[in-house]
Amino acid sequence: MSSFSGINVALQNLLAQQAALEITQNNVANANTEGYHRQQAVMKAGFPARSMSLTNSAGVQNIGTGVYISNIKRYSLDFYDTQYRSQLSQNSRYSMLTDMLSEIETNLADSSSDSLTNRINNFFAGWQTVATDPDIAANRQDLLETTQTLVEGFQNRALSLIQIQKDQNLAITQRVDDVNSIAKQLAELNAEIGRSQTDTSDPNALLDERDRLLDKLATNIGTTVHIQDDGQVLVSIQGHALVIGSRTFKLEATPVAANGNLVKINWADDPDKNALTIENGEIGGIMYARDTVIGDQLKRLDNTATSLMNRVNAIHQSGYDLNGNAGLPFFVFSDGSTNPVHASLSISLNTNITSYTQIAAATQVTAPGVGAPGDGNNALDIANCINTTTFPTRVPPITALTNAQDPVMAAGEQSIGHYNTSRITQLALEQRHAETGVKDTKSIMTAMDEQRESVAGVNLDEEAANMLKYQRAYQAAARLMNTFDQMLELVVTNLGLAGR
Amino acid sequence: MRITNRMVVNNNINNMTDAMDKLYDLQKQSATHKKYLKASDNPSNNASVLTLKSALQTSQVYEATAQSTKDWMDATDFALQQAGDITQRAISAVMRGLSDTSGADTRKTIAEEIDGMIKEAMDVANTKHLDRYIFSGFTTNTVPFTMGTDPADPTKDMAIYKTGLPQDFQAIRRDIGPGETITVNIDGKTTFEHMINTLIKTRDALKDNNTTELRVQAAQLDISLDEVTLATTINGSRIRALEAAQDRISESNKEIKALISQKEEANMAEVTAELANQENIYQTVITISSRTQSMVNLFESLG
Repeated sequence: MSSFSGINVALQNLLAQQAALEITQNNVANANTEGYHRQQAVMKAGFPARSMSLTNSAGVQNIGTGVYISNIKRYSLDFYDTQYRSQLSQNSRYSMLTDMLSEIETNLADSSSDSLTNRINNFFAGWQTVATDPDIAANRQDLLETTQTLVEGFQNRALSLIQIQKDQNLAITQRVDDVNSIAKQLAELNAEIGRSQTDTSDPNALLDERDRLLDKLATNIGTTVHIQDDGQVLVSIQGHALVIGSRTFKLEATPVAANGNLVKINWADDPDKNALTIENGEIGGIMYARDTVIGDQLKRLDNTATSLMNRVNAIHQSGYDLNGNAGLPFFVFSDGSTNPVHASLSISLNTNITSYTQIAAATQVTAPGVGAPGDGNNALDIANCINTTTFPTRVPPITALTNAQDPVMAAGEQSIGHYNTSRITQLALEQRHAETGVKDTKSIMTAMDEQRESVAGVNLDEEAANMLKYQRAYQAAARLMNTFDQMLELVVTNLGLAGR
Repeated sequence: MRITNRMVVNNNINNMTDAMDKLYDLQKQSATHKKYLKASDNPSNNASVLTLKSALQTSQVYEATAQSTKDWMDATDFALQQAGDITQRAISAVMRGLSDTSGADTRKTIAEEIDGMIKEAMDVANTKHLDRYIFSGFTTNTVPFTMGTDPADPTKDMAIYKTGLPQDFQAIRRDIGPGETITVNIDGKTTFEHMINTLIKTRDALKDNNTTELRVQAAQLDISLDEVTLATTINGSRIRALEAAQDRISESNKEIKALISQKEEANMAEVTAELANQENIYQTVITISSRTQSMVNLFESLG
């Protein structure tokens, strides 16, 4: 061991304390940085060397060579990260769902005074008014206006729901692009992390960036993340890899012609382009709202329109108008078909009914070709349609109306009013469920984030204490170096004049 | 658990957001007077409110129906009162005509009088309510009585009921409640046909100075009066039944409205109290947040 080893030890010490201080500074600087994991200098005692000065009869003694920084520790707990991300995915799904359901709720306006329920009620109340005074022209004219309002109510709602579905194409495509771009960045990081593992440098900043990207990915889509021993991540979606090492597999948003050009998500390398069912993340929320919630609402609107049309038409055709003619079908599908894609979009007042006199309010004629203007019994039967599941026996076509033609009946012997209410309740329950989901996942997520933060976050008081610790150690090291210097001065300068 | 500065800040933010959320909710409730604004806030409650509102609308139409039916019946009552009045005047006129002191001239004058009554009776039988003939069955647009000639003797006048149309009574019915139907109209044929034609025969007997025939017709006039009185009584009892139903409908409307408001409307006293409480909570959260965040940390206390 050389005479200068003391200075060397002191230098090592100075450098180590300085580095530790720098790390502390870095922690303080990043106290508010999203995704930053606090770091700590791990100090190790230097490898002992033989000390000539300690040689005695027992042999040569070993003495420590000071301190060095073995590595920079990054505080993190993978367990909490995984839990946090899984909750984040679900939370993003429910948040997105809540937003979309609000939009749907606003568009359907079921709580407003202009709701479809009100329009349906008004329509049937219109028939009731005609039944009360079938011979007052104003009542009949009113009914035709009310019918027009009802038909528009169905059409507006169907149109806006379909529009919301279409709008999601852009939202989904953007998020799929996001996922692909994050996957690409993750693959690049994987390569760099892999390299740094081999040259034993600490890739802490890279790991922070990787974790931040994984969080961002989790908001978009639910994934399974596996961190390998070499620090590289393996990301997969439903068993199909998204990122392996430095390779990525792309997702694709493909429009489906058979489904009104709404996009589906599939793997770009899948020759069959099979649609993936994404559950979690914002994409999961959008897909659920678009396909399940809106799909269900549209179906129920269509069912209501179809059943309303079937029932009213059957009774209307069994009656007679002011001119003594049998009633025409009251409603028709505007596209002329019998089974349109969306009944709620196509339902309209029969264009052949051009005058209020053609409303068949009576169940009989006074004489062939002579109407019975005072008879409102047929109108009354139509008015009762809203609340009943049975039909007047005198209406022959009703008995032939099978459940297949009357989807509301098929849905469980319901009246039109009830069925419509159950549609609104269904949407409200979906919304409620989503809101609860947001709250539940948020509370777990907050707890997980706290755990994560508790391990990885920066506590400024702690850093202040550490700072003091390293500062003092640095000062002490400097003092030691000074002492060695003085010792050497004694040897070099003051031990006589030989050799000068 | 190790607490970091960011945890303290995040916690403060979360607490403030929660307190603000609740404040916002209460503020909405107090501004709108409603327990909830969207169906999703309370799905099951909303479903029953929708059902109740639909029931209220139906019930309100029943209310309107009852009122318009009442108007019709009042018009009928007025017409029948007039008809009874005319018949009675005719009977006393005939009594005068039958008196031995009356000569052919007097009877002619009385015949003129009766002729006026016939015109009045025709007007009454053809009464219109809101431009509808109320004694014409379903054919409310067809005048019920026209003056024609007796097919047996074309020289004689005769009131004819709904020329060329079926003569049987067509009862106009109205629903004034679920499954509760009331007949609105009175059979014009039985009430007026006999009466008017008896008046015509009475007039002719007076003109012809035929007291034998006049006696026969006097007895017939009594029968006519009975018919008109019977119709008046039937109509009157219907009006009473209808009035009872009207009371019941308006009572049930009130109940439905009360139920809706109970389910839908916020209890303002409660909301105001909660609002005051929540304000306090919010203030406290803010105060605590500001303190924890401005706490002196170790860096500052180090020399």
